[in-house]
Amino acid sequence: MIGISKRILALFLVVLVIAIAIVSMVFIYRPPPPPVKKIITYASLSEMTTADPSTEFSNSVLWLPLVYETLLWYNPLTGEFTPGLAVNYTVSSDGLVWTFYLRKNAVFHDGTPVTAHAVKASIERTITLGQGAAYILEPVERVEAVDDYTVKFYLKHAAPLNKILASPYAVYIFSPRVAEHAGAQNLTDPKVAEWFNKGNDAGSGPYRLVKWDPESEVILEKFTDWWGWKEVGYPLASPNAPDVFIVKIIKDAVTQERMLRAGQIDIAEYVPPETVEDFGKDPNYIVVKTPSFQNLLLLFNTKKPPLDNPLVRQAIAHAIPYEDIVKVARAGLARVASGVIPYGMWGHFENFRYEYNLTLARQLLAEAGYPAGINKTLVLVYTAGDIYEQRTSELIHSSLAQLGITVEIRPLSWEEQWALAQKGWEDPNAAQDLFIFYWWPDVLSPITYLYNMFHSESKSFNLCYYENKEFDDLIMEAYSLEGVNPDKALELYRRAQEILYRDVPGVGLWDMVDFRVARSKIGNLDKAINPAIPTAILAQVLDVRG
Amino acid sequence: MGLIPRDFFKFLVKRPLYTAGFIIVIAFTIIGSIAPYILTKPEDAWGVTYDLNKAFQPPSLEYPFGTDAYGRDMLNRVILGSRYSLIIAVCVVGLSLIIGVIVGLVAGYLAGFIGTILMRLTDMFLAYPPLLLAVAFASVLGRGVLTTIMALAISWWPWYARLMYVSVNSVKSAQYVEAAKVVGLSKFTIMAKYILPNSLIPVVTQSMLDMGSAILEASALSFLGVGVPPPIPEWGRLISEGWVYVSKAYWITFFPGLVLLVTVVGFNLLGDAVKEYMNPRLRSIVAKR
Repeated sequence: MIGISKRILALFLVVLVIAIAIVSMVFIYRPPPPPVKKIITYASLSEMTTADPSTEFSNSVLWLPLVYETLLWYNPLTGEFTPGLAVNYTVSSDGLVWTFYLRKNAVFHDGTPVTAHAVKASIERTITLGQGAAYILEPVERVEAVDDYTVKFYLKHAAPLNKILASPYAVYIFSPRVAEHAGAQNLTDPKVAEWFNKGNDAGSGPYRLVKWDPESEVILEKFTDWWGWKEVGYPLASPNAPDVFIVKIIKDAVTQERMLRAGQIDIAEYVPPETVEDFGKDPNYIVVKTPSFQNLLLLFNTKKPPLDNPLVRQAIAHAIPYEDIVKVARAGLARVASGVIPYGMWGHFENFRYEYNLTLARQLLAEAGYPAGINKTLVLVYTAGDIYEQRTSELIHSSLAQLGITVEIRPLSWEEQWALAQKGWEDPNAAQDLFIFYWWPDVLSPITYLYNMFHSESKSFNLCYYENKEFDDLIMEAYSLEGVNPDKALELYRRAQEILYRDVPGVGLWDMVDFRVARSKIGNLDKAINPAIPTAILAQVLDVRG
Repeated sequence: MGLIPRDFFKFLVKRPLYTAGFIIVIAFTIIGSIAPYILTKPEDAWGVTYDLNKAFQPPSLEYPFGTDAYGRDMLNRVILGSRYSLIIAVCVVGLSLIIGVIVGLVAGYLAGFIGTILMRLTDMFLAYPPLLLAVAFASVLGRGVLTTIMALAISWWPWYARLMYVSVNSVKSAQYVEAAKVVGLSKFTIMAKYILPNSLIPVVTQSMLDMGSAILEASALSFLGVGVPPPIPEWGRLISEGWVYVSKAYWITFFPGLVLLVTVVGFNLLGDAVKEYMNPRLRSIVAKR
């Protein structure tokens, strides 16, 4: 009896185990339900900084324009404005009074309607705090809420307020109820900044900030009440925009590449440029390239022999293998520079390239009195650790060797590089001969390039120690005319660049091309990128398939 | 080969692995010494020319190690690189050995106030991670072969000083030292004649083991952009620069990496061999197996 029951028990156990196994197998292998939400993960190279829309002037620009809105949007490549919170605007004939008409269906994430009072309060908070990029609002004298949906800006002097109010910094509009949310006395109370930096948002944009972990992850979720989702034909909204947009901090380009290939991220901010070509050929990925206003320049020490001779500088300018540099240094992801103003920017001209011509270079060198090359080693400094600058330096070194010019490449930390260059104003012989570095704009005007690097009064960054009064006068006049007579200003900028082309205090080497690589299911990626908003992907524009 | 005792070779011959290590080190030394004279494409090696039409050629008879992004022959670059890696390794270890042995000897034998001061100084240097210290020094001294050597040596010697200190302490109470004191020999003579030769073995064997690490550390410095300036083909630079092309042109980073690996293994084997040879007890145990 006992024996039988034992056998039955054993059999029962075996059957039970098999049954459990089958049931669990069925459950395990059952296909997972399709995701109800479209989730897109974007890898960022940098950690996020702060979350206060009034003062943030750094990496958080990556997500701020998704959560907050400005009155207008501006695309510097096309020169087009797109309505944001304002549907329309007018400007007085003297350019001093700007009137903006707000849309009536916009609400903040806390449910408060977006009104002229909110605009006034937001802009005034930024001006009062005076931090970050608040200086761009310097021309604003006062803001007036005429009625709930009309706001007037009075300026101290004429300025392109439409461009200013479309900046990616300092001009975001937020709910005036933040003071209440933060338990603060008023908007400028430090408690408000604290409240923002805890990961709270008070914007009106297409996404809400739902997770704020600036060192590893930021999660944004669709704000269904955003006016843009409902407006037919609005160019900055897509019906297939992601429901959840995750920003993951992945600090290494190779890791981003691996994660993209493994499907762990959908969009990479930065993969090694050398891999972009392969991604371009793979139908599973899309590559979007856009001009960037960052360029790499070579500055000559115009006060130290032999580079104090313009002919020597011209010779070198003609002995730099620009095309090869772009090919090797940036894997083709750059454009040979024409002048010192990057391609795509107003004030850029296409006829300021130096032809790579060693025969001409030798001729110029002979004319300068160096028929057999220069019997002196030129010191070229670049920022250590920057592989693009390093490769560029190596090619310049190789190419100038053919002219009989020996170049010593010296990688230095930026602080050392700059400190060495600063000596040049006092004692040009103590400074480097050749200086490689990047420039990118603080204001979207040619003046940032021309003044900083070449004006005789710009001691910090005029590291060619170039002094030319005619040039100085031209650019300052051009800048003053930019708002009033842009055609005349453009002509003066052109003439100033002609002087630079002839004197060669420095040469533009290449204008950087920005690129993003994403999985091919992500459409509209090109429209989601705006060179004025570095690193940001305007997720509301994305068309996510499948 | 008068410097090396004859029975060391006998010892080596019986141990093929150590023989291999010895041959690798000798080959590395010879190639490193004569590198500039055996280059078939010196312009490629020194990086004074480039030819993009030849970029990314896979290994072939013409280019046994392939070519890099500039169309330069990698074999020539690696051969020239051995010179820098050799100079750096020998100088870093040699310099550290000299400083470390002197500091350890003086501190260990004299003890007292001077000894305390010297050893606390050593501890101070030991408290910092060597690479961090080297990076800090390199950024103060500027860049180059010499500064790479200085920077690494400065972070390296305290290890030898410690080792020497311990070794001296175990020797200084030996009877022959006491005897020398009784005879009335000067402290300097005792240190130089009796303490030094008898406490040197552990430090010297350790230094052989460290040759490989020195090359790796110099490579790490290059990797961080503070080592030997471009376009000098120091091995670490070749490896780090080839890394971004690894999926497209593995050979740019693979061959320098392989050569570095073989060299480091060679030095480690030789270091083991010296250690075993110098320590008769260990030698007999191993021989009995």
